[in-house]
Amino acid sequence: MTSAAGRDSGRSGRVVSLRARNREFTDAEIFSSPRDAPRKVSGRFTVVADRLHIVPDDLDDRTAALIAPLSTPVHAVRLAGDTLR
Amino acid sequence: MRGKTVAVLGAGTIGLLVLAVLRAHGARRVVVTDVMATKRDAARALGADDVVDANAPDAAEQVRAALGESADIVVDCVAIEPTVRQAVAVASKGGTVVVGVPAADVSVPLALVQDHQIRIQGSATYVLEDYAESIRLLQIGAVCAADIVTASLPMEQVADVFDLSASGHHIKVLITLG
Repeated sequence: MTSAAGRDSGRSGRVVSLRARNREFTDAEIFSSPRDAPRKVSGRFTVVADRLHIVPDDLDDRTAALIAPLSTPVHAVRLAGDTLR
Repeated sequence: MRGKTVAVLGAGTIGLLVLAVLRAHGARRVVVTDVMATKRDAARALGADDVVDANAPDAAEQVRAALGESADIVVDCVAIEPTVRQAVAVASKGGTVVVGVPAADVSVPLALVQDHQIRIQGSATYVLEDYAESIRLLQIGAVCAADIVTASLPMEQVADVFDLSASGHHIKVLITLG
């Protein structure tokens, strides 16, 4: 991947640190940059180790590709379940 | 979620995955809305109890009728002003409206929200425990890739991937590497 940060500075290979500030800072925010974060793309970046997951052996690649997309609905439903009713 | 009545507004990828999570978590009745008949058909095929045309002038009333009561929970996966108004109408009284992801600010019928004690809850991405639950749901087959992944193209055709994704005729389009 070409580094946008590299293009900005006229160099390639610059590492942009997107280290999570705390555990509530989510995977997708790290990779997509939240609206209030500096928007940088790099060929390499650092993440905290617990953001890396081992795909279970019983999930094929096509199914594993749905882990992140499915996590957002899981989050939404969990928040909805904490209802006042 | 067990025993709850739920409306899902929007049957795109997120809406259909919300439907799957609700089913896996024991929601009693789930009604899904969309403006496109093909997406409503997909929602029905993936377990919606009923579907409603979101463009119908009385869509909110139709959803309430299909649920048999007001919704305990409305998940608004469209988050434009018409769907937010529908969501509040369907959740009235006392329900929770979960919203994401709006492209712009919208006007909210706040007097109704206050008077009918409706809760509006934002939702953004996920945290670690959601990831674990997502993996579990995939492992038990609550979500099947064959139902959700409707096309896979190599990286060289990435422009086509965006076209397919924007066509409205696909659920999830994957890019394959190697």
